[in-house]
Amino acid sequence: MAGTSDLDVAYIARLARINLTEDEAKIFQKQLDDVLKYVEKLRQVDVTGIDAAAHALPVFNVFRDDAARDWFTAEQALSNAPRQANSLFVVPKVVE
Amino acid sequence: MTGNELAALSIADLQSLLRRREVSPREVIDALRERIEAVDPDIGAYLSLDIEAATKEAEHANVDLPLGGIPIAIKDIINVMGQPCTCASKILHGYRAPYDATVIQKLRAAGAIPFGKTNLDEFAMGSSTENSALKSTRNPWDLSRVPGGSSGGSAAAVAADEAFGALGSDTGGSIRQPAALCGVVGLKPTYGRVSRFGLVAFASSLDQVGPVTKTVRDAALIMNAISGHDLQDSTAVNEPVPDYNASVGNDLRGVRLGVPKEYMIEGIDPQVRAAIDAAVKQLSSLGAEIVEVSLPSTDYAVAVYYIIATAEASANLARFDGVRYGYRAENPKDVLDLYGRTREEGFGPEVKRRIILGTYVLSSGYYDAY
Repeated sequence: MAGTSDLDVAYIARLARINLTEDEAKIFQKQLDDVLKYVEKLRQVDVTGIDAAAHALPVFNVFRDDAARDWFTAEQALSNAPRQANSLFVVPKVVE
Repeated sequence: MTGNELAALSIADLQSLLRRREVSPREVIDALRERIEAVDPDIGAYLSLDIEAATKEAEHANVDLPLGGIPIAIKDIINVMGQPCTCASKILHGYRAPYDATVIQKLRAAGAIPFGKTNLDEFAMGSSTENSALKSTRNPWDLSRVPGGSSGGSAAAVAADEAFGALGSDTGGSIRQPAALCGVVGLKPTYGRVSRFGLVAFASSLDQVGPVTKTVRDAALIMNAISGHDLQDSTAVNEPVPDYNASVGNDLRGVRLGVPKEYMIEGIDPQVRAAIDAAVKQLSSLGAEIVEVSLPSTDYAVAVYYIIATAEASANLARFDGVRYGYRAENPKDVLDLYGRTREEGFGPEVKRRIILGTYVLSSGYYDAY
């Protein structure tokens, strides 16, 4: 679908695993084209000499001991499953 | 004291009454329930309430703990064991949290009682609470207006005396803005101060949990309870937590406050401008040194937000696929149909837009551009 940006909503929605109606795709295309046009302003920023500001503290990496600890039982992990059987999540068949 | 008078108290004042045994935790829950029954049909701050569980906890509350016997409302994007956590989305229909978020564990350890789940924009994506897929929340000061968002339920509940204090979450203003619109105190803590374990993730490099309260002192009491290091969230920094309560009520001599000139722009509402000026004057009269500062990148903040927040959301919300929890589309013909229709039927339009934009900005050509 042609918009004013390189974004093809129908294609990206498939990548994101969201089915869209044609009407929805058309509306989103227009709206997101507008957002992308707005975001273009970032191309004009000269960032030379500006330090990256990713965090208020000089935190770069965090390590901990690789130690086992108690966590959910299978029953707890499955407690919200829409479908389950034999302590497993049930999904449609994926191999023929 | 009538139930309404009780419900109108700050956390600090309620705490004094509880500790003097002039009121029991049980009576506090009753007063809050009556208040909610009277006003929430108009305001719509709460998505779910479990009075029975709260009453049971009130029976053995230890009022001498820092927040002993104080009910705290929780934005419905934070997991409270055994309670729903809808994120105001259809896609989490039927879900019940099998664990407590770290902030909930910490509130309980401080003696507080998690009480009720408050409305929000779906997955915290919005600024008015109108994007909730479940109900709309109105501003208690004027029911024809929005409470702000996304933590609009928390802010409205506190403003309407339906809660003594609440937790919200803030990614791009979602605590601060509804607090401002409802005339209550809201704080987004510094990133890393508060654990997000058990907060349903939206944009992980921006999300923080924080308090919504009637007074600054109450915000300090909640911050004391919820702050600190957590092995379950590696972004929660291992730094000492000061006693926030100790700095409340002091003068501000020796404190230098910057007022960013880029924030005081054309088009700012005169009433908002006057309120800011009055606050600056008040802080100055308390001894703070006020300096004008410049944050020259301010103009680009929203554009950067659109890229970072949507990119991270598209990855975080990939987990909602109809397999492990929540809503699942009926009779899927294969697994792609299961994913595609579950997400079509489960997500509202704003969430879909952000996931699609985020998926796009992470795609190869665009990713390289930024």
